[in-house]
Amino acid sequence: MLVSEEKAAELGVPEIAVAGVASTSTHRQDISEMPDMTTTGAAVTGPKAFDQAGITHDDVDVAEIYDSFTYTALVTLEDLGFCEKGEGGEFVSGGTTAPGGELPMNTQGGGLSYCHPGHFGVFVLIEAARQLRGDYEGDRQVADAEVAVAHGTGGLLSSSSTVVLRRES
Amino acid sequence: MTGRVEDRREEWEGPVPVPTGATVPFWAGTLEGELRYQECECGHRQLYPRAVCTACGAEDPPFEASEGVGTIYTYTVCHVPGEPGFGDRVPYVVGAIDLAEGPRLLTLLDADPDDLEIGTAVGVTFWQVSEKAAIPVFVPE
Repeated sequence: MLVSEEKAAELGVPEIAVAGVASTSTHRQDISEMPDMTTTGAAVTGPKAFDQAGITHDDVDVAEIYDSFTYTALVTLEDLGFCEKGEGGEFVSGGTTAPGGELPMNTQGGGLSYCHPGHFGVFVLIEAARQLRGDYEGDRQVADAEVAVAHGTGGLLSSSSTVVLRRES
Repeated sequence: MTGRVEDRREEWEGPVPVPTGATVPFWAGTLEGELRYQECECGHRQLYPRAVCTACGAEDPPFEASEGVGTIYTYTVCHVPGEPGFGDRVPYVVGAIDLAEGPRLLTLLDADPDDLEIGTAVGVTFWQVSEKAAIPVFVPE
């Protein structure tokens, strides 16, 4: 539920602010139209949303990234700037994105392991918000998460949105 | 250049294109062994065929004949058929071909995967699958 600050205070719920948002579209509905199959719109929306939120990668406590395929997760991590281009595979190896890792990612299991009904974007937002509220028990919960990045990819890798959420209370 | 048109109507079990609207001139060309792309007055070239130019929005951009040659931008070997009619064809190769004229076309590559690399030069050939359409398929030159 998206409400005003006043309403959130009235409800007495944890306040999670939308600190940065950016969306773009790179091509139309055919994969052959993708200008570069190793770069997505995340390369555009990531820097914009981070800039708007005034954060750097070090500030990000948890990342919820649309993983329609393993490739999508890796290329998005690269495009968002968590690692260099071509180094996504190495980045996720060795537990970096696992519970307790440097950047816990897709803490609900991701589309690949949890569910992928097609429009998975809302699930990355829900999980990001719930992490910041501290809704979970055990390994799934990222301790003291204050900043979360949710990223959705739609169309045929043609639409990208990055949302930075920040816990305010 | 025109590509060879091979009659595969009896053996083809894959999807059969149904020419409609903007795709009618494209499929008509395939029966003659001609690969057609659209070139708008604004200079933009596109393929697959569409009712509008994706660059400027002009309606019905006219068709031009491609030379039917290009290079492999990327390709993948399919071991699980994406369509039921492709089941007997596995493993088959799907590639994105950068045509000499510019547009990039997603297409079947009729070749041994070992003979393919990114950048390999390929040329078009056609498999006729109905009275109204022949599917462009690329082979190494």
